[in-house]
Formats: sequence, structure tokens, C-alpha cells
Amino acid sequence: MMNKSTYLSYLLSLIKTKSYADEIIEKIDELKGSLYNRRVNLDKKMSELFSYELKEKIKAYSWQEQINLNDPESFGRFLTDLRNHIKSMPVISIKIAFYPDEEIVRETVSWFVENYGKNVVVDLIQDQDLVAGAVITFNDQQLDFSLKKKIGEKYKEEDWKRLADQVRSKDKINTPEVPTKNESLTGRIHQLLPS
Amino acid sequence: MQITQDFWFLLFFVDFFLLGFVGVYAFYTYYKRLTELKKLQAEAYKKTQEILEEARNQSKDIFAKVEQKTEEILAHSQLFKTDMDREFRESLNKLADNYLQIVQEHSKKFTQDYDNILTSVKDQSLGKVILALDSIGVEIRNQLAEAKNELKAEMLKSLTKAQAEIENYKKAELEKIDQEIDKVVAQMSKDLLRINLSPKDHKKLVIQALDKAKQQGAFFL
Repeated sequence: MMNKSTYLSYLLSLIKTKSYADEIIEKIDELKGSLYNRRVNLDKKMSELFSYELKEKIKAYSWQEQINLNDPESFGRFLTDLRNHIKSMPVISIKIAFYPDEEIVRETVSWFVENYGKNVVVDLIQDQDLVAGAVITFNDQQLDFSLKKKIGEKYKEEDWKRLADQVRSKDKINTPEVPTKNESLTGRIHQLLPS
Repeated sequence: MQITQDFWFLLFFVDFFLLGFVGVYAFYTYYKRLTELKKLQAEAYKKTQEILEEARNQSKDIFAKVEQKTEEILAHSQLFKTDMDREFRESLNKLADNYLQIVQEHSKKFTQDYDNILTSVKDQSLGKVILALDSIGVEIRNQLAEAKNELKAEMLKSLTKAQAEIENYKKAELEKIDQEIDKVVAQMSKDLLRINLSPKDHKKLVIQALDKAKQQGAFFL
């Protein structure tokens, strides 16, 4: 038999992003509003509001908590409790240089589970200016691990000027000679990338 | 005693009658005077009206006469003015004719004198004039040459200045373009780098960033 925290953990593991967490909180509030309306079939309402998986997880957790779904008062308390659990999930804001697809969401959330054994909510924001890497914000602390920052630290304005001159001279003379990967600035930037 | 009472009574009646008579007479006299006075007032008013009417008629006559007289005077003065104008114009014309005649005579004389003088001076001056004209010609030619040189120098100066300004402007604009190119090249290099990285590389870098954040103790979970 699974313990109490595992049921909740399974439920919370379905909530990965901040936008989804906000959406679920809104839906829980809507469900709470329908509890005392006898005309509303709660099971049907839950099917409308949540995905099948989430609904089943909520029901399993309520069963674990010995909540009578037909008792509006205790079910209301249960929903408030669940809402608070979701609301208190740690939110990690991560700026990345590419479109945040499902895969990266899954990977980042799994990383937190693997490393801290905790369910977190990630807020992935796309910012192409970063070039690559990520800027991580948690508890008002921001850490910049972007390639933009690394390039800025390693290459000064003169380097960019040299690169521009190289491009210019290449255009003017039209020589077939291209600097080797390691010599040119772009080559040196490539060295920053993971092998 | 009886006689005395009757006597006093009679005396009282007589006095009463006399007093009544005097009162009636006084009232009659007053009324008569009042009637006369009213009559006199009415007559005086009537008389006044008559006098006023007469005065109005007289003044009307006087006004009519004055108006007639005025018109006569005006007619006379108009005639007088016309006469005066005519006479004045005639005398002016006469005076002008006289003056014109005098002027014509004097002009004729002056022209004759001038012709004589000019004829005498002409011969003397002709030589001098030719010399002076030659000298003016030389002077003008010199001044023209000088002005031409000055203008040429000025033009050259302006041209040099304009060329220098154009060069400076060109240089500044080229510098600006160079700076823009530098920025574009830098941005393009970054963009190319981002595009050339595979999604796998990008994700790897994000996970690396998380690892580094963990190493730095960023997450208090």
C-alpha cells in the first residue's frame, strides 16, 4: 500500500509548469463553487474540469484521505488543502534561448525530482538573446548561465571588431582563405560549447 | 320786573337779527367778489391766448420772410461766385500764357548760347575725352583681371573647404556604418551560433546550468 505522501506526490507530479498550476487552481476554485449546488453532478464536473489522469489522482488522494465526495463540507476542506499544496510548490523561473517544448519541461522537472526528490513547478521563458544556456531565478536570486554572458566575459569589443574586419576583408578581397576553426572568433566561440 | 325781562328779550332779538343781516351781507359781498375775480381770470387767460396766437402768427410771417430773404441772398452769392470763378480762371489762363511766352523766349536764347558754347568746347574736349576713355579702358581691364584672380582664389578656397567637409562627413558616416556593421556582425554571429546549436545541445546546456546552480547552492528545497 502506498503511503499518504506518495499519493499527493503523484498528483503534484502531474503539475509541471506555473501556467498549468494556475489553471488547476482556477479549476479547483470553480469546483468548490459548485459543491453546494445539488443540480451539479460533481463527478461529471470534475471530468469537465480536469484530465482523466488528474481526476483519477485527485479521487485516489481523496480516498486515501478518507474524504466523502458527497459531503460538500469535507470535500471543500480537501480541495482547499489541495489548492494550498499546489500553491506552495516551489516555482523555478528559467529563461532559455529556444521554444520551451514538453521535452525540456519534463527534463527540468525530472532533474529536480532526481536531485532533490521534490516536485517543483517550472516557469520557462523564451529569450533568444541568451544565445544558449539558461538564466535561473529562484527565491529572488538570479543566476546567469547563458552563453551570452560567457561570450561577453571572454570577448571584448575589439574582438568583435576584428571579426567584423575579417568579414569586411573577406568581402573586399574575396580570398578563398578562411581562418581555421580554432583561429577565428566563431571557432573560439565553438570551443565554449559542450563537446 | 315783567317789562324789564321783555325789554332784554326784545333787545336780544334785535341784536340777533342785526348780526344775521351783517353775516348775510358779508357772505353776499364775498361771493360777488369771487365771481368777479373768476371772470377777470377767464378774460385774462383768453387775452393771453389771443396775444400768443398773434405772436405765433407774427413769428411765422417773420420766418417766412427770413427764409425768402436767405434764398435770395444765396442765389445772389451763387451768381457772384460763378462770376468770380470765371474771372479767376480767365486771369490765370492769361497769366500762364504770358509766363509760357517768357519761358519760350528764354529757352530759345539759352539753347542758342549753349549751342555756341558746346561748339567751342567740343573741339577742345574731344581729344581729352579720347585719352580719358583709353585710360578708363585700361583701368577697367586691370580691375577685371584682378577681380578674376580674386574670384578664382576664393573659389579654389571654397572648393578646398567643401572637399574637406565632404571628406569629414564621409568619414563620420563610414565610421557610423562600420559601427553598425560591427553590431550586426556580432549579433549575427550570436544568432548563427544559437541556430547552429542542435535542440539536444540547447537542452544539455540548460541541464548544465541547473547543475551549476545546484553546485552554487541556489536551491533551498
